[in-house]
Parts: sequence; structure tokens; C-alpha cells
Amino acid sequence: MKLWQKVSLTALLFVMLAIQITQFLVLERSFENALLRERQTAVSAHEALSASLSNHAAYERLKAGKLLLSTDEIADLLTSTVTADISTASSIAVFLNETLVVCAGTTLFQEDLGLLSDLVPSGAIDEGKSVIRDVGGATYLIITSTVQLETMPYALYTAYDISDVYATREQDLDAACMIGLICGAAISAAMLVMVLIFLHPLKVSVQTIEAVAKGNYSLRVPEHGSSELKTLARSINDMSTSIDEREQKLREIADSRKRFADAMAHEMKTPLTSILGFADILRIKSTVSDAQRRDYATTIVEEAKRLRSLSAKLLQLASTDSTQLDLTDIEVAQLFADIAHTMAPILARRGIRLKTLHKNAALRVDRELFLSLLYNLIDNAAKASPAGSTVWLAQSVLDGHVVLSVIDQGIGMKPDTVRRATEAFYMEDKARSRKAGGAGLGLALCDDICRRHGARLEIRSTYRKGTTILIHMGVAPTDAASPAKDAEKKPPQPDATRRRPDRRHGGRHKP
Amino acid sequence: MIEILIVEDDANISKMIAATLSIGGYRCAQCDDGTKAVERITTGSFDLILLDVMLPGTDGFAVLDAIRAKGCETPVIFLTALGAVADKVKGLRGGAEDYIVKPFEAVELLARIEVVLRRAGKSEMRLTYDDIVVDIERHTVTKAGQPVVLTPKEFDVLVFFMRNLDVAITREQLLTNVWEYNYTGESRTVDIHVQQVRRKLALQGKLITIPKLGYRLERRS
Repeated sequence: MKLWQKVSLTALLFVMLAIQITQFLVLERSFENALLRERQTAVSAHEALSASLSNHAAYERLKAGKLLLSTDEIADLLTSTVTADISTASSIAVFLNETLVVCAGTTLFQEDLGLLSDLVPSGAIDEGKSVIRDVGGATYLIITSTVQLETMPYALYTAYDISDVYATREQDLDAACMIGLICGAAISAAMLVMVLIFLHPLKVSVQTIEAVAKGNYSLRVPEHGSSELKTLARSINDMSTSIDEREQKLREIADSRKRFADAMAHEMKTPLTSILGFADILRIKSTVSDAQRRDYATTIVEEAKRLRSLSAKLLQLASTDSTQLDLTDIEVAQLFADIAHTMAPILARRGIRLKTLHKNAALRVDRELFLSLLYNLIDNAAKASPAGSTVWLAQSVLDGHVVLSVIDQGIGMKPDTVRRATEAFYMEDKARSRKAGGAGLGLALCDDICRRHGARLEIRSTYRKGTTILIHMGVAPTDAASPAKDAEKKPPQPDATRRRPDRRHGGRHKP
Repeated sequence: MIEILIVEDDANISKMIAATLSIGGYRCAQCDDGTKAVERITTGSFDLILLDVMLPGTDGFAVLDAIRAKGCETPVIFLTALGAVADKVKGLRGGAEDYIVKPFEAVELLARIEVVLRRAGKSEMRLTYDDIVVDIERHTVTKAGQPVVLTPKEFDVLVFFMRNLDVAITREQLLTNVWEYNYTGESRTVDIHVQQVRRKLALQGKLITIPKLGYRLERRS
């Protein structure tokens, strides 16, 4: 049963009960009063009759000058008095020793003698006793008393019709019942409407939750109504906002994984296609000229090398996550000197100078991984730079954190490229990247190494002006603090991603 | 002569496909960009397009949409690294004739091209080799003017060899392309059919067995 039905029905029940009980009590009280009045009237009339009988008897005795009136004389006297006085009661009867002496009015006492024996069971009359009896469809108030006439005890019975009082009571009860029902119906209808109005926000909330459950996570509940419902609406909104965000994150992760898988399939299968195709041609073709064979074989070797470099990078990417960091304290000066020693000659061959700039600072990093990170960045910078330009490797301190930067005045990147640069396999210009031996994994790898060191990789680039890559040491939130972002960036190793916080923990605290 | 356009951004793959097509005796043109491809297809008169899906500029699906929108009905075979079923459906619904997943073998590519060309009514219906003449439409073979009786499978084997002259054909490839199913257990069946074809058409020394590989019908010297 729904809440509004319960509330309305319960309210209706109680309202009806209250109305009926009140009405009944009021009516009963007025009925009692009416009955009391009737009784008082009847008793006065009875007493008046009784007194009148005694007076008449005394008067007649004095008039006749007798000592005592005979029974017959008394009977005549009674008949005349009762007949004269009948208008005060519906029925009057006088008995002497259970024998009817006189009777007037309705035939109540003649017809139903059993009534009398019932009234006077022991023969002794209870003075002024009043009884209510239903006889023949009417209700009578019957009063009995003993009148001493000429030493003889006469039983005087008077009956008064009080059917009207009962009829009025019945009518009043019926009317009250009707009024009660109508009022109750009206009140419950009003309550129903009010309950429905009060519960409307709840209905809206339920509909919204249902829609959210079906996947429409962007829906929000209007926050109005009573305070409890407002709280409920706010909680629902908080919940769906949270679901919405999580769902979007999950979708982004799934999208990024699909992109990664597609990109990897493409990058792996492209060299494989050439290798398999040319190898198959060499196998099935009966006559292959020397020039052709050399050409085909060269391509096969070239593509196999590309595959080798790709698999090495992928392996490196995977193992960056799975290997423990071997943290050591390194002077920046020493680190830069090592890099310059290795990279300067390579860059010089392309006509590019490498300059370093540093203060006295030390880093606590995995030496091999960090060198690889800087090699990659410098190599990228050199590839983007025209001959004759300079690539800077600099170190500074920003807000108490060491910042390393690799700066070039090369071709730069478009904003969209900057945003996607650390995405695995993302290449702005595939043909150019491949010619340079790239697979679109370099920056993804750098980003990974940075995050493993608790550093943040920042790319600032202006198209056609140059790129600055900043490594903010020790400022990045740990991976545990942003698992979704982490997973999004690292789609290829779902297992590694899950295990990472533990390993990290171990890595950080390694002496 | 059948002319095929290769739309592929990877230079080595494009070169490999061109080499494969030359084995099949097709002429070919190469294009490495989606946008340029639409232009060349709609202005040129190619018999078939080999279309890579992941292309710079306009991707393969968009290229197909664009050329179909311009009313060009040239059959298209997609080449792609993405083997996902969804992509396959998308490709074929978009009006591509077939779909080849990279990497692929040379003979597989040639066989697929052959099927598509035949469906488009563009393949050679009359093949000759020395004094042997095969009429594919009428399903007849004559040697020096005399009719030769071949079973349907022997006929298909002969046609497959004649369409892949000078190419080593493996038993698996024959099974896939003639019997149209992939199984390796019954290569005996293939051997028997090849021997029958060789005997009935006196191709000894021409339809040669290559150890560990299969058979090859040598081009006339």
C-alpha cells in the first residue's frame, strides 16, 4: 500500500471515529436530559393525580357525612376523577388488591396485564417507581404509587407516551451519522489532496531515481518541499552527481583503453604487414630480380627494426611500472654533466647546441630512469629544433620545489597536441614521427617516469615558437590520491595500475 | 587491363601491395592521403580500390562515404589493422565489397581481389595458357582445340593456377579458395586434384611441385 493511501485511510478512520463518538456522546446527553424532563413532568402529573384522588375522597366523605366511603363509592369517585384527569396521561389505571377498579385512556393496562405483574412482581408497590416499557410500537413511561383511600391501599398506575423522545433520538442519530459521513468524506478528500501535494516532491524524486537507474545520470531532482524531502532531494542529487562523474571517468578510461588498444594494434600490425607481405612475395614468386630482392629484404629489415623499437618501448613502458625504484641522491650538477656528456655529441651531429643551467641542488631519484627521462625529452627537443638552435637543460626552484626544464625554440605544438601529448601512440604527424623512428610512446613514458617519482610533467608550447617541458619535483599528488587519472593515463596495464600504490609505498620508503 | 588504386599511408605497405598486384598482373596506382584519394577515385577510372581505414586527412570510412555520395560505384576492399567485428560491419554496410585484416599474405590478397572483380563482372572470363583455353562462363576447357573433361573442382583448381601464374600456391590456399573452407587435414584431396589436372592437360614440367610449399604453374618461357 502506498504511503499516501495509508496516511489518508488512517486519517479518515480516526476522523470518522472522533466525529461519531462526539456526536453520540452529545446526543446521548441531550436524550438523557429530555428523558429526565419527561420523567419529572410525569412524576408531577402522577403526584397531582394522586393528591387529587385523596382530596376528592376526603371531600366526598365530608359531603356525604359518612365516616368512611364504601368501596363502590370510591370506585365511582375514582372513575369520575380519572376520566376528568385523563388528559394529563395516556393511560391511567387503579387497582385494589390486583383487581382493576378503574381504567382510562388507552387500553394499555387492560390489554397487557402481564405488564403489571411484571411491574409489581411481589405485590408490594415501590413508591414512585418509574419504568420505561415498549408496548405495541410505542414507548411508555409508567409510574406506580399507592394511594390510601379510606384505609384501603389503591395502586395507581399512570403511563406516559414518550415515543417522541426516542423517535427524536433516532432521528438525531441518523442525521448525525449522515453529517459525520459527509464531514469525514470532505475532510479526507481535503487530506488526500494535501498529502498528495506534500508527497509530490517524493514522487518526483522517485521518478528521477528511476531515470538515473536507467542510465540518465545527468538528471537532477528539484530541491523544494518540506525540509526532509529537500534533504532527500539533495542526497539524491549528490548521489547522481557522483555516479555521473564516476561513469564519465570510467567511460574515459574505457575510451582511452580502446584508443590505446587500437593504436597499439595499428602500430604493431603496420610493420608486420610489410614484413609478412614482402616475405611472402619472396617465397611465392618464382623469379625475383636481384634489385627487387634487395629492396624487399631491406624493407623487411627496416620494418622489423621498427617493430623491435616499438616492442622495446612498450616493454619499457610496462616495466617502468613494475620495477622498484632504486632511489639515490644525485647532485643536479652531476646529473646534467652526465647528460651533456652523452647527448651533446649526438645533438652536435644535427647542428644543435645543448646548454645546461643549474644551481646547487640534489635530487632523490632512480638514476637510470631519470636519465632515460631527460634523454627522451632532450631528444624530442632536438628533433623539433632547426639546425643551429640551442636546447636548454635548466634547473630552478619554484615555491620550494626543484623544477627541471628542457627548453627548445623548435616547431612547437598546437594546443590540442599539448593536451594529448602524453597519450600513448599519439602522434601529431605520423609520417614525420615514423621517419624519425618514433612510435608515439616517448612522452607517455616520460610522464610515467615523472609520476613514479612523484613529479609532475608540464608542457608549455607555442606553435612555431618552441616548447618548454617542466618537471616539477615532489609536487604531484601520489597515484593513490588520483587513481582514475592514473588509470586513464595508463590504460595498457590494468593489473599494474591496481598494484601500484603498494609498490609505490615500498619504493618511497626504500633506504 | 585491370587498374587498382592503393590508398595506404604507410609507404612500405603501399610498396608491398604494389609488388603483390604486379604478380597478379594488375596495374596499380598509389595514394597516401584520404582527401587526395577521393579526388583521384572520382576523376579516374579504377576497377577496384584497396582502401586503408586509418588514413591521415580523411579516414577510410569517410572516403568510402564521399565517393559513394558522388555516385562512384567502384568496388572497395578495406585494409585495416582493426579486426573488431564492429568495424567489419561498419565497413561492409558502408558499401565496401570486402575487408582484409592486416597483416595478410600475398595470395590471400590476390584471391580476395579476384573474387571482388569477378562479382563486379570485371575479371577475365577467358583464360589461355599455351594451347589450353578456359571459358569460365561456359565452364569448358579445350587443349589444342579438343575439349577436355574436368570435374568442377578440377576446373576450379586449373582456373586458380591460371589466375596465379608463376606464383607458388600452398595446399592450404587451394583448400581455402577452391574448396572454400579452412582445413588442413585433407591436403591429400588437393594433391589428387592437382595430379588429375596435370595428367588430363599434359602439364608435366609446367605445373610443378615445390617441396615443402605447394605447387606453381610456371609462366611460359
